[in-house]
Amino acid sequence: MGHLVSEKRGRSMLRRPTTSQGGGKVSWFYRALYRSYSLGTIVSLFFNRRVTPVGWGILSLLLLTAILGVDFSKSTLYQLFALIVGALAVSLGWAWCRRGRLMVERELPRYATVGERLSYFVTVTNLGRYALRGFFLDEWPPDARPTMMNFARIGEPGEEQRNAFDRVFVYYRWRWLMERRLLFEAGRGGGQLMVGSGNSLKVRMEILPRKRGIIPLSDLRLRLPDPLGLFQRCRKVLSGDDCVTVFPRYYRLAPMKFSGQACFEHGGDALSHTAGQSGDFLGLRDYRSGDPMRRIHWKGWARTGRPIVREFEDISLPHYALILDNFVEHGDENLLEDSISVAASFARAIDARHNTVDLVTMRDQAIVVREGQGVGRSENIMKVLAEIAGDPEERLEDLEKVVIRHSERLTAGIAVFTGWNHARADFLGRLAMTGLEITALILCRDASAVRSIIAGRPLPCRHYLLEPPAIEEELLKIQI
Amino acid sequence: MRDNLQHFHEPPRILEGAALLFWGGVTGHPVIGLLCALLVEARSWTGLRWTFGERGFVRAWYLSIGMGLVVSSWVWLESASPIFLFEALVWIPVCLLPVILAQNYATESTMPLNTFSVVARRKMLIDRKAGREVEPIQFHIGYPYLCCVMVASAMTRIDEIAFFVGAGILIASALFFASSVSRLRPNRTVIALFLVIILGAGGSAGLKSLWLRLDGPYSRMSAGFTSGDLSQTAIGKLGTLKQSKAIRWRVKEAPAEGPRLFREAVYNHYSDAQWWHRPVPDRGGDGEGKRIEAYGKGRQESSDVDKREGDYEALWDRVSEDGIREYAFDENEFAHNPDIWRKLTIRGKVDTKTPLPLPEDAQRISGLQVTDGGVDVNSLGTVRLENPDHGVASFEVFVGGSPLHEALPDPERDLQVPLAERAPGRLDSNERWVEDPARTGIRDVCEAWGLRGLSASKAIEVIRAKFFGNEFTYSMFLRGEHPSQKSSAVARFLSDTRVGHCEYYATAAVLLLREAGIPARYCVGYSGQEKTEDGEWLLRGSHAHAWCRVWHGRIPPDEIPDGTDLSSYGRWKDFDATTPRWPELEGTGKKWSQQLVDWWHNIREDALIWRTSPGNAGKINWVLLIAGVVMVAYLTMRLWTGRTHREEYSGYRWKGETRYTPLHELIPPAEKLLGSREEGRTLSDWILGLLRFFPGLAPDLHRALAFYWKARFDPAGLSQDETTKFEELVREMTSRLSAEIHVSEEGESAISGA
Repeated sequence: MGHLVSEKRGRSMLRRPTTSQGGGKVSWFYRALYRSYSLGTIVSLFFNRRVTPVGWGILSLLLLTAILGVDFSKSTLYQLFALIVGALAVSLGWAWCRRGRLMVERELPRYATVGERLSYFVTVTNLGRYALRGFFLDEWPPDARPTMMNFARIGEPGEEQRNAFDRVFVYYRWRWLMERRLLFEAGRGGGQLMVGSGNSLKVRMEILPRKRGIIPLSDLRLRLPDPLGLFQRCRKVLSGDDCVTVFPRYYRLAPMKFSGQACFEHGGDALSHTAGQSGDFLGLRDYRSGDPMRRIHWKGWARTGRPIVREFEDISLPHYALILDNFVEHGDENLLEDSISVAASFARAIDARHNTVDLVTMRDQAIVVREGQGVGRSENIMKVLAEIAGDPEERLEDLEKVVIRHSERLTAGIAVFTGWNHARADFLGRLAMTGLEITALILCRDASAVRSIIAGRPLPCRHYLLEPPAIEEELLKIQI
Repeated sequence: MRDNLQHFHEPPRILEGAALLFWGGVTGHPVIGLLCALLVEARSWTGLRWTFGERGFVRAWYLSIGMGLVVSSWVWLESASPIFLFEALVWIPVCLLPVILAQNYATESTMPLNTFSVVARRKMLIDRKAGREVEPIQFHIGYPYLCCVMVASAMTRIDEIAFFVGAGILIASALFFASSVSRLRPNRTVIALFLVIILGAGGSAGLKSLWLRLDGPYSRMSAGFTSGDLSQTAIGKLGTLKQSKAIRWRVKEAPAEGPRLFREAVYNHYSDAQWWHRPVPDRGGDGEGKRIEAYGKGRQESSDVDKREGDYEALWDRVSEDGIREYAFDENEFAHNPDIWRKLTIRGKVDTKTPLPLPEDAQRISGLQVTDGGVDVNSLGTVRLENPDHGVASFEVFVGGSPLHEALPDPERDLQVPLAERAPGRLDSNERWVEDPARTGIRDVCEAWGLRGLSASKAIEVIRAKFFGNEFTYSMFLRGEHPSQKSSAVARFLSDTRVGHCEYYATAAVLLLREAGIPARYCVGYSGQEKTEDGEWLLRGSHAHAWCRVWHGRIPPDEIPDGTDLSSYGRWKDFDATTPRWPELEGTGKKWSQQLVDWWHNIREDALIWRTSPGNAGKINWVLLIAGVVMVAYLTMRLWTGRTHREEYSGYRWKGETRYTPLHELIPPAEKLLGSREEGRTLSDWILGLLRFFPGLAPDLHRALAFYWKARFDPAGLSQDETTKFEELVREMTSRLSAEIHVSEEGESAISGA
């Protein structure tokens, strides 16, 4: 069974790498672009935290009236200008004078899922001397700016198809990297009327996780808008460093009927604490659909002319393998995310109370994470899938060895491939030769190219090609 | 920012409609404003809705752009004003109507921001095609539209106090409803809005007074401004005087060739490089002098501007048999056959109070379209157009005979020479003028040239000989002028620099003649320098010219006896003191593009005149009306087929199958303290939050909740007696709550924490 990643390690994975990582030199042009975009992001963030959308609108109106209203003899725009300046002055002064000192304690759930809103409550305590009226709380994500090296080296998928201007100034790359690194969309608590001095208040917050993994929540901001809502004072709130484990995104699947299910139902040994082939030999019986090949009694079959299987005293629970190929080349990170989501969808779809599931994948070494009746906590696989990263080195042999080692107890397997090549085809062929019933799910950017490879070398098992972004549609068509 | 923009919410009911009504009122289009307001606000009265989607919003935007282009073109073709942009901007609310209607009647609550940018939208489509996830920023157009309506409303000149009141109310309302905290802190918001209004009023008054103070010096910086009452000359300015090559007027003259000077305005008072028109008092007989006298008696305290306005009198007018309006300087002129005069056809851009370029002997004007205005003339003979119907005027002028009526010389005004020019010097500490003996003034030049005692014609000959000789040089480029000596720039020109353009020569000639005792006035207008093959004078900006009107009389003006026929003592004549070679000295070179510009200018003016001519205007209006009706019908048909209905809001408020209980009456006051109830939170859990603020409410609130649960979920329900108790309980809590909230808002300390 594979080891689980500790929260500490998870957090260290999120730490921004330094520019020295990766080696190599970055051209002066990219350095200049990086600095300007980085500075622009900071400045933009600074002002957006302090100027409300209405404030931006009023500032735009101020500019418009200033340009058009220069000649007082032609319009009365100067009156609008004066009113707007008055509103801005009052608003700015009022916002500047607002004070607030809060302490916040989060009541967080342990897990969340990518793309699904996470609601939680925070208990707000007013540490100030006066009651605080009309305030907002925002949960801000960690800095999403990429490192200079990442900015210089990692290209946006399809970047080569952009126009020359975009390719030179790569602003879209910057935005794409920012989006990619954004852990969650900022959460906002509802406006509150008042919390008295020394009193506490419960506020509901909501964030939208964008990336799987362990996301830290450590930047809670207090917004104190002026009564006109044009500007707001933005203060950091005293709060602990909390975190939430975010599971990968799930896809909807068609109802599944795995091989081996009937065997389990027949045995009715749902509460057994053992799993796998064990116990005394009871006798022989006719083969029924779903019986593993290895239980066939060949001599009996030869004698009777019909398939006969051996029956044991303890009936094993169905035991499935979920093999995740996480070997990715540079640029295929999004495909890996899709693969992980597909694996997570199947892991969730298999009922761990009535089945046992092994996740077989590669981290530093090949690992097996088991989940099932009495063998492991129900979130083990999800936690590993939440934290797993891509492995640039293609070590399919290691993965194969682990699968073969456990194949004795496996009922069937689902292999999720991130891309396709001849090495993967060999790997799949060798797995099929063990007698394990394998279903291959191949995620690829260009399904037609993969089809042509497969046509030249047919696969020994059922297989499905999944091409983003229509993965969910394809999965719904699959009958397993 | 995206997150922020997503919270742009829509304005409340009535606000958009009120702004449109305000716009209609201040811009003089109340019916259009009312129609727009009804269309915008009808969203609240009807359940009709459309699912426009991104494509639908883009189409609405394209329709707005189309309407904007049509309106801009119309205003541009219609208007001669250089600020036609302002007139076009007035129609922004109407042009943006498709967008705001699409927003208001859409099932979608917001629209993508990239609807308004072709580039951003194209980028989004490319990204989507490439399989990238794109989530365009969504926003509600309501408040930006409101801003546009306010800006459009301000593009007019109406009563400033009325506008401020209306704009102040609308802006304050918009700020109140747009604010995210106004409902949480209403008292403070009202105080803040009050401060905004005070600051806005003070700022408006301050800006206005500052502008009025700066207007004088600021205006003086620009050269070449001319109205019927003021000509700001470029005298005393350094550098090159640039003049536009654009065509100002076109004068078609057939068959004989008349004078080449077309006078726009005459002035009689010079001060600090500016020529002013000052009313000339009557010296006997009938005429404009009486007018001035009566005016002066009635309003002694009125300003110079008011006096000048009072110097204008409408020309005699009538409508001829063929429906053409005619104007004449003399009523008897209508009795004459106009064929006895030479006829000029003049075309050009006009605005209100535009001085018309006329030969000195103009007798009758016909063909002007001025429904609400007319043609005025002042005592100096400046003729100006009041409130023309269109931006381009085309009219006929019948010329010949005696020059048009001008007031006879006034000893005070027509002999005025500024002291700084006559004898340059400075004011001492006692405000007395101290001459500078080192500097030569008009008086000295007049003496040196021997002008005193000469007749007008002799004096003109002397001046012409001097100016046309080698001593003086015509040039548009000036240098070495010290700003402090601007007030005596003409004296410096005569004695020192001797380099200048027509304004120098004309002003110097007028001042010299006046110093010599000969009444003279300053004229501006155009000198015909370019004639087309069709016999049409093209009067360009570069043909603008200045010259003099000189009184050729037999006796000095102050010796003319009152009450006699003054014209028998002399007459006004033009004297052009600038060398006839001035056009070639300025250079007649034209850019290659000038012909194209001229062609386009003429096409535009001719098209406007054709379109506004009485026979064609009606037909064009019908065509436009039919096109508009067809388009509206097409849009209505398309929209009708795709209509849907508004979904009822299914928020936390109980509707439909949910049973209403008396406890729901407690929700509005509780919301003031607790804010809105979050989705998915039970009423019981939410309303118990009141105990944090009012722990004393606990027994009653728990009893009320017990009634609430029984009323909602017990099949037996509440008995009559229990219902009465429940209602009384809630009523009592509501009143207590309202009272506590009121007290706590006055003094925050009244609320004790739980």
